[in-house]
Amino acid sequence: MACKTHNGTPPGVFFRRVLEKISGKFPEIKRTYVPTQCMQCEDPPCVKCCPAGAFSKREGGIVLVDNDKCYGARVCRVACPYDAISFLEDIPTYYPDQMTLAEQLWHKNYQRGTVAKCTFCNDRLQDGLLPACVQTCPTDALKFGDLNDPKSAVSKLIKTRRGYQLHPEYGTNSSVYYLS
Amino acid sequence: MMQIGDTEKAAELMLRYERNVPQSFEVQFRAQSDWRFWETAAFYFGGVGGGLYVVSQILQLQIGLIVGYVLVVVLKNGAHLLSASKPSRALRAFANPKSSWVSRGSYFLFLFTVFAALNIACQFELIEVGDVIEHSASILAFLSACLIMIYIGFVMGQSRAIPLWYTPTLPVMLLTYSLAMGGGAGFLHQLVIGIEQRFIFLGWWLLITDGLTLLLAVISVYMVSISSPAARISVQQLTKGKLGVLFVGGALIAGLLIPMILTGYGLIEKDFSSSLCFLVGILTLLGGFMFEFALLRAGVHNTAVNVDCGTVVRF
Repeated sequence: MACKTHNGTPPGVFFRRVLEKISGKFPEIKRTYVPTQCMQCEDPPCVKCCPAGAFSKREGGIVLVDNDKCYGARVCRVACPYDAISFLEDIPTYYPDQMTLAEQLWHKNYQRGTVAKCTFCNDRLQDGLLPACVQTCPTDALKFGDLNDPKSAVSKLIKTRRGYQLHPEYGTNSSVYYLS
Repeated sequence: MMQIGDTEKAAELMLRYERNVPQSFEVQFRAQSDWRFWETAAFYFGGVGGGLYVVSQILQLQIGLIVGYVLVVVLKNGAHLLSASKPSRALRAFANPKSSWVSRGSYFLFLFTVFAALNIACQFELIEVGDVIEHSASILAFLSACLIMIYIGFVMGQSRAIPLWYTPTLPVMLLTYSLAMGGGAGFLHQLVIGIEQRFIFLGWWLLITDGLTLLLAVISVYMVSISSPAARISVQQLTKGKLGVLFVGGALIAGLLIPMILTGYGLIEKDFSSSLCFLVGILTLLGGFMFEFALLRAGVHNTAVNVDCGTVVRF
């Protein structure tokens, strides 16, 4: 909700999804909830394969997309192993006759026929704030920090709680870690 | 503005909401749905056009050179433009040749457009250039046609999450099928011209390229079928149901095996009748389209979250 509210994403577009994973066999069924988003990979396939050069890496490792450069080839969507990029075929509103305040504010950032994705709320980071999801999570399940600093809280957590990345075999070296 | 008690409006809003919210938030395999008809058409025209151009250059088929050129430059580029949602920005496809195979492909297309045009102009004696330039244009047009046939395999291979496409055999297989389609188109071309010697060459050409493609297709499907779960779903799609009919029946049997048998018969009997040539040409060309279509449609993304036993599989 925080993500949708802050980014004003159109209906059907989710920068952050909490997936339901059901594993095991009856009667030993396990249900897990796994939040997924753009993994801000160290070696991002979207940056590599985008022919238009619309994707770039900001200082600090965050992957950004420039809507003015995207021409809608959707190679990034095909190449992203985390299903983290949304294609904006249309930009509908939640209510038929009017735009909400958030939509009025944010929809100008989106262009029909281009792609959009999570940027760890880049605008908030620039103002010295945390990403909206981290700020809002009521159980403090999300942490945000500097992975390059071994003394940072996130680096320590990854070390002590055996943090792991999704699909390390793809060699993307994602910046999002999950704690065991 | 909606009023309280406005039930019709509420029902409309609910419908709207249900339409927009994804059906499931479960961890699941995702069928590739971004590249559809126009991408298939673009890949196909590149394959046929490039193949026909190469065959025509070897056999000195002047009409074939022009048809191959038109297929690549007009139809392939046209299909690419139609597939892009912002075609007015299509020139940006040249922006990232350092790492993007689509971008590299755009440069191959540009090279082909220039050098093949120069080569055709020289062949038809429309312009007078020196021997060195003429030969260079001919070689560069030939090479860029080969690159156009093969680069699609690397474009598809950039997606590591789609195991069906992430195979080392795919670029080679697309090259051999394109060369086979070039041979098929050559047969149709020969129907008009009809020189006996060329039928023999085209017969051997088709026999070798069809055989190689068939072998690579069988090896690839087998290798993929014993790898990851997503790959196995792709193979299931390629071998069963409607897509199975297109891939096995259309692309492999009708597009490769039957033309091989017919050409083999023609080579043994040393007789290439018009009906045989027509059948071989048409079957190879139709099979090629079904091959590209089935390969694109059967692409299945691995789950975003690492999968283990018991995960729901749904499309």
